[in-house]
Amino acid sequence: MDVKPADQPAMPAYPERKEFLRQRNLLGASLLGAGMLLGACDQRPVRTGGVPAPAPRPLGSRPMPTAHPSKAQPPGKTPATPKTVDPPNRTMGKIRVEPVPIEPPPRLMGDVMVVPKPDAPVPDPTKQEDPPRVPGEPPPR
Amino acid sequence: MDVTLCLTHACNLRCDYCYAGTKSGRRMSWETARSALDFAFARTVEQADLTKRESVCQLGFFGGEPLLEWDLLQRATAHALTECARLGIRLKRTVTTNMILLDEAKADWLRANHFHVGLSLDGTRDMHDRHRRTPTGGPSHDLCAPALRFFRGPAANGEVIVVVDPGTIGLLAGSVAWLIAGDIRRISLNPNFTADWDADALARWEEAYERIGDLYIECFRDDRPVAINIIDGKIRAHLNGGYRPCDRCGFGENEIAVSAAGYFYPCERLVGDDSNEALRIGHVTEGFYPAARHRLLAARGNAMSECASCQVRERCVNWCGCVNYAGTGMINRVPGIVCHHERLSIAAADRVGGILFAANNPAFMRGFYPE
Ligand code: SF4
Repeated sequence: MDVKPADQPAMPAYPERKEFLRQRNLLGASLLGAGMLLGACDQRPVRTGGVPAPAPRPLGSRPMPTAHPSKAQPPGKTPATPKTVDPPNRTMGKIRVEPVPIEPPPRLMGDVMVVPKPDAPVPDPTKQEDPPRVPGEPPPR
Repeated sequence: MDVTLCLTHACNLRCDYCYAGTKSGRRMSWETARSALDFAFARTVEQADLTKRESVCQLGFFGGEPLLEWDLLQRATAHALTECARLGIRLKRTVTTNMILLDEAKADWLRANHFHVGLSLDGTRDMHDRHRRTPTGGPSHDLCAPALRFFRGPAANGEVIVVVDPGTIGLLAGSVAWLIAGDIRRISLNPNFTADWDADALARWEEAYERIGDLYIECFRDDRPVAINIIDGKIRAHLNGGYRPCDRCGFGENEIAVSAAGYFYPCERLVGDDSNEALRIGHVTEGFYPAARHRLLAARGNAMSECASCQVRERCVNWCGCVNYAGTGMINRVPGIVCHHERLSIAAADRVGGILFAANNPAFMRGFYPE
């Protein structure tokens, strides 16, 4: 499998923090917490052996009310056999990642093709030419 | 400087995709652990002096199975806390375990000592037992899953690490659903990039991420938000205008992993069974090997000319040296499968983010656009 550069920006339908903040300011919101909104760079990823991801955010929310096999287990007892949950019905629209056409890789610096002008004199490859002199510079040794 | 100690190369499981290499009885001595910690803390203080930033060090315990060396883990933690208090270093703590030895007393101790715990479990019994076997080849779900009860709810101090493998990709979304139903709120999907992903497995991968996206949306609608790394990471990378320097790995510069024998590696995923001399950058008795370390630091990053024109490159982990190395044998060349995965997870994250933002979902706005 090859590396395929995406030739279209992802264009997410949710704004960057900076843009979100700008919009809020236009609406007269306070700048309090701007450092947080702008994602101050103060936390390194947590290292647990997985693929790197930004440090975890807090999850303030209600606990799950429903019973679950892993909940019902008193310490030290043999666990009940958990059942695999059936996949839920899909409710959201499907978004496909379309294969992106492979473009020739961009040329690296130093790999510039020089197209000679039709009327330019053809240089003699056997003849070493002096580089053009800059006025005031000493001649090359 | 962050430091991960591989306390032992022994493990009570034999997961077939494990990147930690051949298991052996080699274990870290107390002297090695203490020297490695003292080395990392001294570098942490130096770096903080240079950068004029707060001294922070993340101490990780890894293996093999680090809970096999519980006494050493506790002793090393006590030493780290004493030294960090003396040196003014803020110490973060992590441990990655398969949970077999994780009883209530250990879980309480880890919570009391502010550990973030990585829990290696592939979700449902079906999915987990396909790859995670005991040394005698038996299933291990019943041995691992009971300890999940210590990590339920939004305030839990752990995340479940699920390996995404082509052999079980059809079971992935069901496994994530099972974990969520059990009130596990932080889930890290960890793709096996070295596996053989055929066209059918790739198609199922895309379907799985879409279903996981649906589950994520349902959780937020129900005001019980979850954190799933492949979605959270990509949303946050967009919010911040791309991965920021602090989101990236320290990889030998401000991060080392130390093998049981005391060798330094740039990342815990590269320690393996401690036999790859090309990746060693020092030893506890000698400090850094300057030439080897500089060679590695100079090669870091991404040397793929293809990526220069990619429109999503700022949200791609193409800079991750260990992932690159696993797939291409070079720390700065991205494997095609990683490229595929990054674009897949960005698409999944953007679908989820777009839907929740458009709905002005309170949990989403609280989590990603905090007041
Ligand atoms: S998505 Fe692919 S092409 Fe784009 S930056 Fe990542 S690895 Fe490179």
